[in-house]
Amino acid sequence: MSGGVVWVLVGLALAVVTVRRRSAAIALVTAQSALLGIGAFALTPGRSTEFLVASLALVAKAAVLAALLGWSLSGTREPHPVWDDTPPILRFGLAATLALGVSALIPSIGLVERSSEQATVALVAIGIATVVLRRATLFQALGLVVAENGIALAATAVEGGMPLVIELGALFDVIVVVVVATAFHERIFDELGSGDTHGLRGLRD
Amino acid sequence: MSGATAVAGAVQIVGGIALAPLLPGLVQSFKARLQGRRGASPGQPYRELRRLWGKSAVAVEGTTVLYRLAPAVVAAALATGVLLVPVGGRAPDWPVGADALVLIGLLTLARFTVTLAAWDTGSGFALMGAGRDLAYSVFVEGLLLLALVLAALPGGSTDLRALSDAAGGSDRWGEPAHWCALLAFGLVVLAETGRQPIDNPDTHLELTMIHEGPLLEYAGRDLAYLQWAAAARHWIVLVLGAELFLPHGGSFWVRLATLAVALPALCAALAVTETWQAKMRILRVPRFLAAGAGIALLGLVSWYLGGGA
Amino acid sequence: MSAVAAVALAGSGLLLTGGLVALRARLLGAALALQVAGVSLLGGAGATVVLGADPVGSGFSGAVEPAFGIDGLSGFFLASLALVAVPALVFAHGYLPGSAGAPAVAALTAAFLGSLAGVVVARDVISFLGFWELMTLVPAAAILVSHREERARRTVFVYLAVTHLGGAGVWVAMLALARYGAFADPGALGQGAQLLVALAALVGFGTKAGLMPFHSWLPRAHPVAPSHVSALMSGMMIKVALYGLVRVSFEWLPEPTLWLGLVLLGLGLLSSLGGVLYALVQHDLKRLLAFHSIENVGIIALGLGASLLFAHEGEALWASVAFAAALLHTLNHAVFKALLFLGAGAFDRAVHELDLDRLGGLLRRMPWTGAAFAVGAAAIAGLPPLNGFASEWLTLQTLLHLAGLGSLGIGVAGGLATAGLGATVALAVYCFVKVVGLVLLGPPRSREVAEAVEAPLSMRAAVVFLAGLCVLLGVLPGLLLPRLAGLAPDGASLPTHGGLELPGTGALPAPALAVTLILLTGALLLARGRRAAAPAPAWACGQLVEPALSWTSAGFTKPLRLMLEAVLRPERTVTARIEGGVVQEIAYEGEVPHLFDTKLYRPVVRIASAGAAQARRLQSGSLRAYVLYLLALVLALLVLVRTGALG
Repeated sequence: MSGGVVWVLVGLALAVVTVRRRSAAIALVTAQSALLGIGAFALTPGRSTEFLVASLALVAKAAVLAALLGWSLSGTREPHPVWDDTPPILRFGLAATLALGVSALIPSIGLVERSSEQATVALVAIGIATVVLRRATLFQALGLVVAENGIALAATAVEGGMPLVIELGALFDVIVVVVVATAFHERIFDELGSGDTHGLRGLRD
Repeated sequence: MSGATAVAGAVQIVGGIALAPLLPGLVQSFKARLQGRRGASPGQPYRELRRLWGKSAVAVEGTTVLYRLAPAVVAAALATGVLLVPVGGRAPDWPVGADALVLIGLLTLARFTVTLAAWDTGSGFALMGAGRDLAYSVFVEGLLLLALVLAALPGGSTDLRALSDAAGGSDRWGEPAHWCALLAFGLVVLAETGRQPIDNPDTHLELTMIHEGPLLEYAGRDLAYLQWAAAARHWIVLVLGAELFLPHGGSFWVRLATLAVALPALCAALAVTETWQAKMRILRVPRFLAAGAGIALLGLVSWYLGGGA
Repeated sequence: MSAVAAVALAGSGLLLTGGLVALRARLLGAALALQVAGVSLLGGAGATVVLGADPVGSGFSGAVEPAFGIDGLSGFFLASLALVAVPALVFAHGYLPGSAGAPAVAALTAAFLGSLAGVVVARDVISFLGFWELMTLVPAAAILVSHREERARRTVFVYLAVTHLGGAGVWVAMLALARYGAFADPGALGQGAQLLVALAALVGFGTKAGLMPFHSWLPRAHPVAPSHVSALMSGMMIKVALYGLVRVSFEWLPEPTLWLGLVLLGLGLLSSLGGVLYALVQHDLKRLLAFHSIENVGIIALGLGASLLFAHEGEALWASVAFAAALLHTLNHAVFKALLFLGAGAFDRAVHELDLDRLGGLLRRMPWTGAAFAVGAAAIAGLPPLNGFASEWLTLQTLLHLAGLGSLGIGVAGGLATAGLGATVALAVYCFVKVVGLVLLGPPRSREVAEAVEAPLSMRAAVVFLAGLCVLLGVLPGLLLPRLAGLAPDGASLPTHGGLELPGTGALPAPALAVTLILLTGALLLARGRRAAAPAPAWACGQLVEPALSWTSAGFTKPLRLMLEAVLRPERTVTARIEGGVVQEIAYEGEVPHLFDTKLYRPVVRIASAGAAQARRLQSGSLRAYVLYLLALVLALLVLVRTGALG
């Protein structure tokens, strides 16, 4: 995958950390997954048919994710805005620093291009940073999706591709992450009236 | 068995059994003189025993067989103890041996039995005295063992005949350890014979009785046994004191004669102590005994610092 | 396989079968009989090895494969186990059918006996530690099965916590020994490793044995267990811990060290004096007996410390005599402590009450059990001619000899130990006179006690057998002395007599002493005549003898409690209700707090809880914080990898 596409993916992930509205974040994640799928599709010449299927699966995943997350979003209106502890600029700065640090530290893991390696690790790091920095429950799920996108990127950047990894990852995303996270999102809303993870602190003994 | 040993055995039996009541009698008569009275003759305990032997006994209501057996067991234990103590440093080879620790065990057996009989009667005064006696015995035992350690230091044996031989001669008198042992054993004598300042043997107030408390519930021959046992205790500790800690030496006959002189002298010393000292508060007695133990430990340390032998 | 090994294996098989059969409630009697047979075979095998046969099985090895063997020391402990376990199992036959969870307790008893035997015959680290853990856990299970209430659960928690915390020492010691290969070659341990092993073994085995100051679990756990399990715990489990200590100190450490001997001597003195002092102020019978176990473990430790010191000074004969004294007291204590616990269990079953101030007069109502209990009390108080006196005499002899040894430190230590042991014996006499007086003699203090019935035949038989054993071991202790002295490293050989005879010092002619005492007592009783005595009430200055005038446990021990106020620190509150200037009612509450609990354990527990509360700050409950911790960990690892620190 060309360096430009890869860096756009990273930029989209950083945007997910920064934006305030959930709908915007869902749109960004969908765009990221779609871009990833299209980029994988562009790499199919010279690779096996499984890889073609996998790249199509990525595109499909993007669509499915968009639908599921959008449906979950419409069902759960936040009564009042959930303000995060850190302002957007700080979030952006922290996520960017983390991504830069991790990608500088990571030793060579055997991908085709160094830029793909760094982008993979950066995506995973930014996904985890999203989980840490954002308070709304939906963003926890979005962060995991971003991290999984990073792993899918690694799978495409390996010599010959690892279609199985991509497909499994997509499956994981759709079934486990989104459904469970959405279900919990609904349940938490029912229980606490808002998707604010601060409310979960009361569950500690 | 040589003649000397046979005579020693005879003196043990006759002295321990028959002459033992003379010792408390001597102490009482000396005390009376010191207090300006004429007092009873030294043979008064014999008259007491004869009187008690003719009287009928008492059975406290609600007692078990332990109450009936106790005086006999106590007297038997003390009689066996009498066999253990050598006179003049010699004793025939009695089957019960001559070990100091066995003697201490027999005295403990006597004390246990008497206090158990006190529990059997359930009498308040008997138990009060028994409790105090047992509380003292904790400290007295420790002190007695320290004195025994000091006595056993030169020879390393606890056989009373060997201890008596080791204490003979004049070289022991130069060691501070021996003086400390003498002092410690003196305190033990006071405690075991129940003399002032630790206990008052002449008291008639039940609330102040310590070793006499359990004796309140007995009469007749039982009481005769128990009073003889108290006299036998006098004999045992005084002979031990004379044999182990007072100067003696020479052949058996010389030592026997020394013993015959030392015993009345010790009785006089007891009488003087009783007249000079008032009875100490019960809670002060452990401190008194602990001071004795401290002196004994100092003696032990001095033995080692002096190089030991 | 030799005959002895075959017998031992058969014994273990029977024991295991007995445990499994016990799970069916109707076959309880058969199960207990199988267990009796099994443990007797094991004991027989052990006794054969001790009395002169060759050791069977393998020696100790550091390899990681199961190995078992019986040598002299193991055989002695197996024989003691059998002597204590057989009466306990016979007792259980009468005791269990009425209690809760009987099949489970019977099966757990078999497991307990199996683990005790297993620790003693284990010859490699894994089986030793495995059986050790089993030995710790099974009584806890037995307690929980028979009691369900909160107090029992707290007790088990404390028991498990303290024994495992201290027992970590056992793991450290054994694993260190295996690592350095010290089983085969004791010289392989360096100085630092020796110190580590010795300290770890002292703490680990000392906790399990109940040495002060590691004893906190013992007075809590022994009273709540079922009576026959308490008897086994007090009789054998703490002895097996001492077995481990003996192995480490005498066999696997290369040479006897001065500091270990002095520390053992000091801990022994502390345990014996402290144990009996705290026993004196208890009023629950089983808790009192548990404290006495601590005292007797202290006496055994005195013997072991003396043996180490003698060995250090090069006196091989006296070192083996001291070793024999410790082992003899191990056996004697197992016998009379089991007797006392089983007796207490019989009383509990008869009157459902174990508070000393509420019993009384049980000698009349339960003559056999009461008489056996009295014999046990006389034995533990160290009265001639019973077995307690024999082993305490031997220990006193060795300590006296230690005091005369020649160097200042050891001499003073020996002198103090001698005096301390003498005071301990006197305190034990005080305590058990009180116990026998309050439990067996005097008027019954409640209606249930006045109507108590004698225990069933199996329970009676068990306690009478143990009482007879006390008398036998007291009258003929010299038969065991040569074999026990031979078990010591550089064992000396002593001639066999009936009584105890040691070279160069006085002797304890036990049979002659017993015979003389009995003959003299008989003669004096005859001389006393059979004139009937006039019955009369006890003297109370002319007042009526009322129950309110009778003595309680606290009252009898008051003189000593006041004399040792600074050590015991008793607390009391007296409240008087006065109406119209006249005192209507006085309430007195007194308590002797256990100083080790208040001064040592509670602060430690408080600090630990405070530390745990601080650590809980990390537990924010926020998912994001936990993920942050993960991220930080990954970053740290990456940095370490980059800088090559992780290689």
